[in-house]
Amino acid sequence: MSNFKYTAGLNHVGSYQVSGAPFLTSSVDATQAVKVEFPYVTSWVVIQNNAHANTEHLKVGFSQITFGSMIGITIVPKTDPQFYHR
Amino acid sequence: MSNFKYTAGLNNVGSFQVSGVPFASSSINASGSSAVKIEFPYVVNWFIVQNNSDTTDTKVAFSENGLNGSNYFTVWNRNTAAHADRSSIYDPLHLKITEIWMTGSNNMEIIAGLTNIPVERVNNIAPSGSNWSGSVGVG
Repeated sequence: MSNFKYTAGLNHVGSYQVSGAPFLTSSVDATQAVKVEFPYVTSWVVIQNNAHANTEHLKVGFSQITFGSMIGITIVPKTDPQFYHR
Repeated sequence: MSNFKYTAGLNNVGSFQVSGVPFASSSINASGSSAVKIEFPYVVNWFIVQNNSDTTDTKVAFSENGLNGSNYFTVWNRNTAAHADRSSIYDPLHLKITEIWMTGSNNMEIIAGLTNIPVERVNNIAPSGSNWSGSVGVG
């Protein structure tokens, strides 16, 4: 008997139409580059910068190369809307 | 005759495409020494958390462990940010949860759209048997 198990692929529309399983992480210290890994492919993410000083901008990318080459987005502490992306 | 009753599961797309059954709770005092737990009667499709305090931020999580650890997010008080509409009111968060845990402000509000999916559908797969608690990212 085959043990092959079908799972949804990256283009499985239904997986993105249902609400997501929760994932939260807080107090992330990103003063040095930090990687946050998810246990499954994300449907959407929100990132919030809680730094007190308005000069502590947070830079966000999806790879180290992106990060190093200054391609990405910047989140200003509290005064900017959170980054929300599907 | 069989009494088995079919109910929608967590991946039933239609349950998340229709508008939600309304759920609202206000004047929630989360300033006590113990965290406040809000339990929903069905699996949530989306929710919004609002902090009406002018002075106190609130931590929001999906389990007590997450709240006491590092699996929570902060809903700022109304005076924290220049964009008050963004600091205390979140866009609807589309997460299939059954509980919200909070500590901080004495004046919180929750609005949610519920599915018709029984909470047991989540609780039966959560490592601790309750609202994903014990899984990565929930605590």
